[in-house]
Formats: sequence, structure tokens, C-alpha cells
Amino acid sequence: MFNEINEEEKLKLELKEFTKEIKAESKIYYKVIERYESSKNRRKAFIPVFKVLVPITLSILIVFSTIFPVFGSNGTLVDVINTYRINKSISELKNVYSSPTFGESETPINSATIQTLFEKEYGLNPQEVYKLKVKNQDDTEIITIVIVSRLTNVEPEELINLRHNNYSWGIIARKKGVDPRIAINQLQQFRRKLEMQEKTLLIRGEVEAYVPEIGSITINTFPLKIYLGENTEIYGTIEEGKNLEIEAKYIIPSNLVQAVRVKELNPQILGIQSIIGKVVSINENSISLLLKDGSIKEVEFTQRTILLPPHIPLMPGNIIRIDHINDNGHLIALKIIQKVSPPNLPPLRGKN
Amino acid sequence: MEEISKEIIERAKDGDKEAMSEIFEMYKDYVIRSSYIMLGRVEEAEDVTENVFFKIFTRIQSFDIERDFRPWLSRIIINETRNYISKNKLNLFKDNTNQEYVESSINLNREEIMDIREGLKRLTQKEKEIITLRYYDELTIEEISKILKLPKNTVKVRIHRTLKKLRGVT
Repeated sequence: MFNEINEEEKLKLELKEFTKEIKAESKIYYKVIERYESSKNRRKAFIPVFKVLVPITLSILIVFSTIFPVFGSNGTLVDVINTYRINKSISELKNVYSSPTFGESETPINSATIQTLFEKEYGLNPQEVYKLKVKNQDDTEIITIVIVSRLTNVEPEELINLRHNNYSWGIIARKKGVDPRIAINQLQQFRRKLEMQEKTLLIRGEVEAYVPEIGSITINTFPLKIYLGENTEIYGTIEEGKNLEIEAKYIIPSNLVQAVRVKELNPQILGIQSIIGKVVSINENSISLLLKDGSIKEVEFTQRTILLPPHIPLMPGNIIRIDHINDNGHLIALKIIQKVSPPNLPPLRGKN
Repeated sequence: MEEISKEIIERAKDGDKEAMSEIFEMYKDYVIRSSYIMLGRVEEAEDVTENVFFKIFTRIQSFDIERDFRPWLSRIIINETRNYISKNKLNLFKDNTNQEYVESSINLNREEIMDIREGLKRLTQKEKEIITLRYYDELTIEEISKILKLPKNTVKVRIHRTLKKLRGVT
């Protein structure tokens, strides 16, 4: 039988005995030292050459890569560095934007915050913001587009086209003459505003529910209840189904949305039109509706089009309402709403 | 085997020839014997020994003084033996009829010498490496697993299998 432990000990002894007569001669040491000295001398001879050659080569490479687009479609070395710095700021912004503080409701709240900041601080009108939003999946991308557009006076559409053609932010900054430091600074400022504990929000949409007794309003585009306070200014009436524009304060620690000003809203002022009709056909990115007057209208929808309710059946024959904007002759759906008969409306609470 | 002092290594790091000589004297036979077990020829083991010490003296500056010296040395022996085989295009496994393992000890009887010689001839290069590391260098399974970059269990299984192959037990 093979006894491994015995065999192991035996083999150790055997290998020692077996190699006992093998001895390294001293001449090996002298050969090693000779090679060691010679390699040291070679190194010594090369060091001054390297000291001169390496900085010169590096300088030439840096200058060359700064002038010529050695990084292919990513442009020059400066473009690559600027792209990295801008993308880093965008990524920080994205982290703040998509980190939910109160479950899933945070992103729609951030989306409303962005809408408000664009209108109040960047002077965009709501229609311009809707147009930007329907063309872009990513809200943080829109923020960068708006910031660069304001710094360069280049139309956002032009920047969107450049981005769709895979131009990096570094290349766009160079082509449009933007100092990346200023763009980064503004992105950081925007991020700080998103992080603020108390935010002003502009909420626009249809009243889904109104409870005068407790003074709460639910708007179909916003995830939280909005509460009326004693100092809330109310212009017009609050009724279910009615469109409102509410300026509100959102206090993060209490997760409370307090209305500051409520007014009736004619969506058409925002450039939003509504059509009601019967679905004739639907394909990958558009829907055809047969209207009351017998005409057929085609409305495009994007991944940002809101469906109310979220699983609305979009099948030929169904009657739906589409709130849309007109973008150079193209009708783009913002919301597709299942058509229901208007409910009984409760009385208004608040002051006129 | 006696472990080398940190002080000698520090001096060798500074290029002290006396310290290098002490390292050579301390490990020369260990290095040549390890190489001999893997190569089977004294002349080639001498060449590898020269390369191993050249590597030790040129790389000792990067050696972490807090770590054990012998596993580091064993790693160099394994690498230099592999380099030597590949540079000289030796195919020891195919060519093992020419391997002589000529040196023998007077303390082993003729039968024992024949056994170990024939046993080593049966092994592949990788098997010789693992046998040398475990039974001549007397390294732990963990040290061998780091040198050969293999999981510890694989090392254990290979040692067991190789030991049986060496002894002609199937």
C-alpha cells in the first residue's frame, strides 16, 4: 500500500542524498559579478541618454497629440481630457439626479426641479423645455446642452445634432469656443441646486383628485400630493380634470409639497395641444388618430411620452386623448391619456 | 536551511559585493541542486545557477525585506529554469532518455539511485517543478501555490499524483 506520509519524508531525504555531490563552483560567482558590473555600466551609460531623450520624446508626443486628433473620433489630447472632465461632472450630476431619497418618486421630482430651473434661471419657455425633453432620453444630457447653449449662443438643436453624431463634449467645447472650466463650474452649480433640501417646483398637469377638506391636490404628472396652505395664492378654480400650474415648495426632510401659487392653466399657452380621436393604426414610433371632423392625424411618440394610465391599451378602435407639441410640423406626443367621461367635480376650496 | 539575515540583504541592496558573496555562498548549492532536479544535467544546472544569481543581484533592490527570502529565491529558480529550457529549446520530457542524472550519492544504494533517477525521468517539467518546490525546497503548499499561481487544492492534488508517478504507483 502507498503510504504518502512515509513516502514524502523518504523522498525529502532521497533528493538530498541524490544531489549531495552536486556543488556550485566559485567560478560561477565571478561570472555573475562580471555580468552584474557590465550591466551596471551599461545602465550608467544609458541613464544620461534617457534623461535627455525621454523628456524630449514626451514633449514632442504631447505637442503632437495636442494639435492632431491622434485619438481618432475623440479628437486631440486636450479634447480627450476635457471630455473626461465634463463627463465626470455629468456623472456626478447623474448620481444626484437618479439617487432616490424617497423611493421612486425622486426622479419625477428632480425632473420638475430641472424644468423649474430651466424656466426661472435659464430663461427657457416651457415649450422649449418640452421640445428638448422629447428629443433626449437623458435629463442630465439636456442640462449640459442647455448650459453649453447658453455659454455659446448656439441653438440647443445644433448641439443635440452634434451629440447624435457622436461628437464628444471635449470636441464640442473646442469647436464652439467654450471654456470647459466654466461649463464644469455651471454643471456643479446645477448639481448643488438639485441637492438643496428645499426646492421650488413648477408643477403643471391635470387635477386627478382634489380633497378640499384637507386641502390636497393630486396632479397627474407629479407623484406626491400637493397641499394648500393658508398663504397659498389661488387664481381660478380647482376641479378634477382641470389643468393647473402650481408653484410649490418641496421640503425634502419632511417630504412635503406645499403650494405657494395655484393658477388655472391653458395648456395651449405652453404650446401644448390636445386632440381626441379613435386609434386607426399604431407603429413603432407613431400613432394615427381619426378625429371628429373625419381627418386623420399622425402623432409621433418617444420614450419620454407619458402614458396615463401607464398600461393604457393602445389598440385600433380605442378612444384616446393625446397632448402634444408641434415641432416644425411634427406632432410629438407628451402624454397619451385614456379617454374617460368627466367625473362629478367637488367644490373649490381656497381663495380666489 | 539557515535563513539569511536582513542586514546582509540590506547591504546587497546597496551594492555591497561582500554581502553578495555571502548570499552566493549561502545558497549556491541549494540553487544548483534545485536546477539539477529539474534539468537532469550538471552543466545546464550551472548555467541556470549563474542566471539565478545574476537575477538576484540585479533585482534585490525590489525585494521586500519583510518577506521570506526563500520563496522569492525559489520563484527565481523556477522562472530561470523555464527561460533556460525555452531559450535553448530543450524538450526534457521527450528527450529524457538522454538525461543522465549522473551524480549520485555514496549514501544511497544502487537500487535507490536507480529508483529516483528513473522516477524523475518519468516526470514532465511541471511535475519536476512541483516535486522540487515541495520536497527539495521544502516550501509550504501556500508558498507553492503563490509561486506557481495555482489554487492550493490544485497544488495538493498535483503533488499527490506526481508523488505516485515518481514512485511508479498507478
